[in-house]
Amino acid sequence: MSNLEVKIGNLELKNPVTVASGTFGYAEEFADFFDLNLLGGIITKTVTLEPRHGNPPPRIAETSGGMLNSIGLPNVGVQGFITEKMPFLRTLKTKVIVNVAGKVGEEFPEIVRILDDVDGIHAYELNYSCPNVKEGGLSFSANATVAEKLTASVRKATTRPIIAKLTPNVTSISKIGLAVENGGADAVSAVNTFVGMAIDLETKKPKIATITAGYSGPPIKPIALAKVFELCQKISIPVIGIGGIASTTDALEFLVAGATAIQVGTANFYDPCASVKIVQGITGYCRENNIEKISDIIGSLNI
Amino acid sequence: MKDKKRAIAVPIQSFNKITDEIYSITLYDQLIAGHAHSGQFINVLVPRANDILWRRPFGIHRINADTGTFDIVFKVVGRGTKALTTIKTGDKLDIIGPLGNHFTCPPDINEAIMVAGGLGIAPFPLFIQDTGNKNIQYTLFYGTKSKNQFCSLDFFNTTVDNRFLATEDGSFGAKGFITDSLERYLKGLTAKDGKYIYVCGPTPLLARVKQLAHRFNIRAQVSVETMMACGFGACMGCPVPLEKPAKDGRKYLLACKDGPVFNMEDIVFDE
Repeated sequence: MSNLEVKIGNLELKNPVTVASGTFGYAEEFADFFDLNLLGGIITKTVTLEPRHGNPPPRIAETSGGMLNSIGLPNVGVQGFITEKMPFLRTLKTKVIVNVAGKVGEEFPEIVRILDDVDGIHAYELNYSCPNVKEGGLSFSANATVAEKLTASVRKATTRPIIAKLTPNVTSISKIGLAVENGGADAVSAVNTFVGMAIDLETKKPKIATITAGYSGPPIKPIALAKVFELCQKISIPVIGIGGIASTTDALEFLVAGATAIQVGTANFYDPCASVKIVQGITGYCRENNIEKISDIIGSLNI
Repeated sequence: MKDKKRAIAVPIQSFNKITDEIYSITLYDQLIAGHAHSGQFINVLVPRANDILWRRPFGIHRINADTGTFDIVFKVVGRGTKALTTIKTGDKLDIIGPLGNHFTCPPDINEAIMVAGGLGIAPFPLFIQDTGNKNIQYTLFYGTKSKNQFCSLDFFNTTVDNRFLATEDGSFGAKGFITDSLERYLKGLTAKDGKYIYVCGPTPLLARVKQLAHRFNIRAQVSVETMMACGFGACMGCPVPLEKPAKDGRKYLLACKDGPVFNMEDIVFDE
């Protein structure tokens, strides 16, 4: 059997397949569907300092092969997360990566400090890039100086690995990637959703209450893959590839482009077993192609 | 008991066009046929055509415990339901379900006033199957746009005590909105005790029934229909606004997980 292990900083994943924040709840929502321990890791829905209600409806719209969402990070807040969500997450035998977001920059290290006393958390993903919240959100990763400072402040708050989740809605994603690397991030995950929009022609109303929203799903894969490739060329820390991954082929393309691991996102909604099918698919691919270790594929792009 | 979530491919026992516009699918699944309740739904992976991404939710219409089958009904409203018309008897359909909560009957119920608009009729045959052993008088208010949009009238002919039908174009039953018939009926009621309204349909109908239930002081349960990307609580794309925050402080509940059935007085309809 091939060795599928990958390393993100000092975080060891049993395989490169993880699930994207906001598409997998707090994992318990998927526990009936398959053995969650088969995944390389789980990235939780965003946790904020205080509880949030989320945005008014409509929050979602289906587009041609993809979707728009503006959920607005509803969650029970960091204390609620610790008491209500962690007991289940702690039972898992896979890596638990908690996605955190602050309204203002100072909240990022504050949340991480609170979570750092909690057992069963293996890493943090910093949500610098939610396009759907009024405060903060996108602004944290649209400016290289801000992104670097913020990452440095979180770096001081924890010794656990930190992964900066980057937005593609910038002129140069690799500039931001370099900035968070300088700030001390162990890895980046890219990309978050693209800002998009849809209109109901009958009513002339936007299909999403917040007018613009995050665009995701299979149609964004080629654009996401190009961003991930760009990052892999320019930065030295690992890149976790995200963006429209729905099949084993999609996942392998990101690895070949240089991603160390991947996240399955929107596909979880229509196929709750999409992520584990990709684990099985990669296992089969390695077997059929006599690939001893998955790291042989990573960055193997033939150019 | 909370249902264990499952994604499963179930055989299509039959697929029929039952009127000019309404289709019915009979699916074989003993678990749903044996245990599902009125208001619960399945989320269907429709044939992957027309760039469809999400599954499509359908309320469980009727079950046949003897044959281990259940029915869903639909009409073509968009590309998802259009793609669903390409299925064939004998194929399998990938479904997740049963999902969601269901209608409940208080112990003191003596009359169930069912109000359905269009395909909002979906949960009501199962409602009668669910509650048929109780001593309940069933009154049905069923309105559609036009005469070719009614379904399961044969079933209701033999199961309900009073039946009021309306079409917006007047092609069948009373002309106008079914809520007008409901209003007249509620005005005529002398005793309100033990009467409960159960409603499913388009949002304007739900909003009107909410007003009527409030005015005549009759309690009501509603099954809502919203867009859902997942159907099982992960996407959080189906929020239902509350009149006042829930005990845990939430301003929104999720249609898929906390619903689709809610107490009418608890939720807000955005008209």
